[in-house]
Amino acid sequence: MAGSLESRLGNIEELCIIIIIIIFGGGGRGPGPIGDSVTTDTSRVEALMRLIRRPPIGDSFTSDVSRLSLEAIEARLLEVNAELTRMRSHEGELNARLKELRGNKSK
Amino acid sequence: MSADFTRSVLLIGFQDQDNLGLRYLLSSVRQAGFAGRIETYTADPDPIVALAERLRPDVIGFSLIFQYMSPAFARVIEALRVAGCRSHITIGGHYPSFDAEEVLQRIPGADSIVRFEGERTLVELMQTLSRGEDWRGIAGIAHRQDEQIILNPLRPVLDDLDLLPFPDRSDIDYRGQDLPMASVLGSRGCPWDCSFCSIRPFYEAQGGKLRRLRSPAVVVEEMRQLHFEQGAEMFLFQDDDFMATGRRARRWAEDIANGIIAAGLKNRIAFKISCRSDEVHYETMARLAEAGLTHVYMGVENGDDQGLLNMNKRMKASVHIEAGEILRSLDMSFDFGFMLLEPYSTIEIVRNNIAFLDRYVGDGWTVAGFCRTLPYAGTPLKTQLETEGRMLGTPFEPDYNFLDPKLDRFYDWMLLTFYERNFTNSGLNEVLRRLNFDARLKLPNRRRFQAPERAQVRRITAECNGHALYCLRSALDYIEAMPLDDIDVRGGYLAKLTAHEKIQERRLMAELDTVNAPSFEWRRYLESDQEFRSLGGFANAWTLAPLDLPFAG
Repeated sequence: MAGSLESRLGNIEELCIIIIIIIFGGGGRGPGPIGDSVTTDTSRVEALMRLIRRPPIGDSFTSDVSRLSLEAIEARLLEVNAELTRMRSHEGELNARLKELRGNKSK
Repeated sequence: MSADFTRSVLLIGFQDQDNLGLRYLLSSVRQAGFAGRIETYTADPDPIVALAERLRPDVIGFSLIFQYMSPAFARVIEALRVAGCRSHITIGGHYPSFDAEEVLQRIPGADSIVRFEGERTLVELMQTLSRGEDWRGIAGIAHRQDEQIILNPLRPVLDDLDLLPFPDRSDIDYRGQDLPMASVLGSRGCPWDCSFCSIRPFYEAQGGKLRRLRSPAVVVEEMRQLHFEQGAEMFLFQDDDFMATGRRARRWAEDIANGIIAAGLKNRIAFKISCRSDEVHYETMARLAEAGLTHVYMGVENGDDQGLLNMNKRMKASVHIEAGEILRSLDMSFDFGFMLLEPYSTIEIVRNNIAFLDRYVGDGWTVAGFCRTLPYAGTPLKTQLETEGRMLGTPFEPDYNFLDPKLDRFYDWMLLTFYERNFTNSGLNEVLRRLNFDARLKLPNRRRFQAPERAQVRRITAECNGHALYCLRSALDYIEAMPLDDIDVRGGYLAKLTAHEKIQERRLMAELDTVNAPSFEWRRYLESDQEFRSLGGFANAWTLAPLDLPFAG
């Protein structure tokens, strides 16, 4: 489980988590392999994931943005935005339906 | 064709939204003892020529609503003259009222212009012609004398609109319509002085009050007759601004709502009004909603405070947001006019406008349409641009350049990308306006949209808005960053944005086919040929002439 979780985290996110844990005392157990402690405390990981707003699921971005050409970035942005727009609209639809159903229930 | 005056008038114009202007004229001439009829304008002159040959009316009156349509009207009038028509041909409407000299010079077949409010002028013209007297001295007329155009003094406006007979609708079969939809008028005029609008100058020209109200009881009586005798269910108030302005106007509107309820029309009819955002007050809107108000059109026009100042709108953008929230809380559909660009736009104002649209309707409550301001005849804006030496184009098709040439490129790209979406009857904007209108329409004997159907329409609308706003924002960023000479609106990144928008539109259009909307009209729309889809009764709710549009400018 821990290994699987680790493999799903992007390097930057992992680094963020490490820094946050240090700041908030997550490393309070003394010196040692800091990286390992992150994944052992599941509840803390979940809290931190909420904090950085990315759940520990899904694929990480594997493309190296710094090596993308201008055209490739433009094209990728169009794709990303199209998906974001679809998802936001779908979220709105779901929220509207949720509100409706809860409203019916409360009546 | 020989002269055979039969004391009749043939009125020709577009029939959108009943064309109340023509119908008030017809009822006035009939009340004065003349015969008359209304015929729909066609770009092909043959049907009109044939009708004129058959009827041989004393007067043929053209209702010229769209400024850019003047050359097309000129061709029809020329065809009438070539065919030997000897009727007196006159033209009325906002544009010819302001620009009578230009119209008479460019349309030699026309004898006169009936300027501004036309009922009494047309009746006097008919009376004078039928007596065989000289009509050239009639107040409110423009005509040729030798090589000159003479503008006769205008007559005062009619103070009491209740004196007008109800508009003549004898040829309209409301019961035969999918959604029997009648236009009514509660008032004429608007006191606001927005720079792009000619309504105030139109009524100000003749003096009198800037907004005249019909008595609520008279308005309701007309609605009652239309519903119980002719079957109208949906009413479109064609007032320039139904709520202008202040407490007096709100009381008047509430009196109409109370009258509708007292007349037994509640839960039998629905209606639509047009107003400004700062006139949307919860209590009044709630009372109107109780009487059947289901849709509000608002002249939003701009979402940036400086942009609103440029237009002399006299309000802040935050007021639009508040109005939208009030209408949402009352579960009303609304739509709005929006001019993303105006002659004094800056890139920053346009960017703020795009952000505003996202905040205003990003949730998909209604679809975001947008265009640019055109300096129409009679508007303060036209005068201002003339003073600044910025007016381009022709009198019939006015144009201008933006102060920032990059915005001209942006506008060119915007037209290429959004013309179909924003300005055609089968475009996504119009189709979604229709669906959102239907989605909140509450009429008896009509199955209403269920919650999931409404949610689906709202999601598609939100997507439609989201894609369009993203493309607008991206294009603006690109154009701002690039040297002017390197901006190619038909190639490179801008072309990719255009293609992206079109792909999303096509996808959403295909998805619309899965919407199980309950209206008969919608089913007929879906079953019609994709290339020739039109919007049935709903199209009558808004004026959108074929090939109207910013292309005219």
